[in-house]
Amino acid sequence: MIDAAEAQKVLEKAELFSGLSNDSIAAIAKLAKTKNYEEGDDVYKLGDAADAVFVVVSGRVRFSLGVGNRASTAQSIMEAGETFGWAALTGEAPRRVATASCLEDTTMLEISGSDLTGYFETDTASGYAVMRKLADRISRDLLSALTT
Amino acid sequence: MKVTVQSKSGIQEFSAETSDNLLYAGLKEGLSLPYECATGTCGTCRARVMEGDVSLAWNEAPGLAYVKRSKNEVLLCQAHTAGDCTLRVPAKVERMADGAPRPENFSGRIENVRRLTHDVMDFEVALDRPMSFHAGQFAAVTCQEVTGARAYSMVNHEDAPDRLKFVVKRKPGGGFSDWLFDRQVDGKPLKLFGPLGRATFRPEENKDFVCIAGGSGIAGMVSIATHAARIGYFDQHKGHVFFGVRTMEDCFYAAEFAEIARRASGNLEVTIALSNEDPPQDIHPEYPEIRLAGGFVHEVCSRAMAGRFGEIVGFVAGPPPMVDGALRMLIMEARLPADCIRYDKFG
Repeated sequence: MIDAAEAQKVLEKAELFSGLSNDSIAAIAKLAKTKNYEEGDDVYKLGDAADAVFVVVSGRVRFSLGVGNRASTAQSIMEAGETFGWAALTGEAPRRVATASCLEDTTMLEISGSDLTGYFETDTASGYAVMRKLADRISRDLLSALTT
Repeated sequence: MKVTVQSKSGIQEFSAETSDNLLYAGLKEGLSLPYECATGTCGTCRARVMEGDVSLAWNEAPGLAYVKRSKNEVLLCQAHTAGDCTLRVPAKVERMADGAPRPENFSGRIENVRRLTHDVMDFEVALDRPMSFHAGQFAAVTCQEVTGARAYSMVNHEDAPDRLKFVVKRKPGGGFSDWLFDRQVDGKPLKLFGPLGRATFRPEENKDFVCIAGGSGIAGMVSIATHAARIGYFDQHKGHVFFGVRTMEDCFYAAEFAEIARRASGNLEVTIALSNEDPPQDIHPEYPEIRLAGGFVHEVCSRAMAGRFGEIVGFVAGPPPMVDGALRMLIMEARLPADCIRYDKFG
């Protein structure tokens, strides 16, 4: 179990939340739940409802597409400090278009997408900053997909 | 040699010969070891060596990017052992129920090589004995002249055929495809391990199906449509095939699909999507059973199938960007559940 202070430190180092004020980070940390997975566990599978964002605290998570485990065009391994599952912040009733599975025992912070977007409604400056980073990331992924 | 597997569902054992990699040895004995490509690319058959001496056949296998060598992790499809060993596999590993064709080693010779386009060819392999397989499955193919195995889907489908047909698209720098395209390969011996893959056509599901394929990914779709036509599946169900190529000159298997469509009495719709040129007309100039459309194949499918997806099974195969686009479309637009989307690694 990760306490609120430790969760705050993890979020401060996460690229998606970097640059937010201490108060904003503290508020987001309160929304986070600790999740522990064993090596080989799936965090989510292709087609699952995309309802949460994850920040890796320790361990490694691999992304793959399809019924099997082909690597996706997105960065395919996530390590400590990296954020994934951001489809939970987009659109209505989003679904997962990849499978995320743990390459080793992994601890993560799980933040409900609706809780987080709800918080951003009250802290629009932070919401704008995060959504800009998200737009940059989607743009990078698209570019990567077009050039590989 | 005795191989012990510690898995999430308990301990299993199988025996292995020195010549077999550990994945093939376990699959031959009916264990549900995790794998996808079975040729060193995807990294799915990752395992940790707990005891014993295990060596890798191909130290540069791309799938090794997903393992930690410092933790004694290996890819089972590249791993060989000269003695007893114990492995830990981070998945459930069980003995599979009898019924599904178990993969085995086969040998055969290349025959009937045909050049289909400037960079696509197909050929048959006359096997040393018949191989039963499900439509959509593949085999790992090796030749003496090129290091490593390649995964190719079977194009044909019959009950236990003694010939397999494969289609290969030439890849820049691809050792196996260079060998096929540059040499006189008729009569050359091949070794095969198969059948492999779970992205199969299952007639007992009783659902319509849609196939979205690019390039040589069409192989498994021909097999599926052939099987469906042979068993009268189109009497009750519809099939939709969307085949993406760049231009009309890159198109192949139009005659084969036209023949299957005729046997399907209007219940198999085949559309060729041209991504790099406008189609000269809406119907194929030689085969009126086949439609033509412009655009990326998943976009063409999305337009043509709008409002018609319903209870359907989707098969996808092709180059990675095409597969990504097709999967997103099937999940986000067609709203297919994940268990109705079939895909095996290709390319």
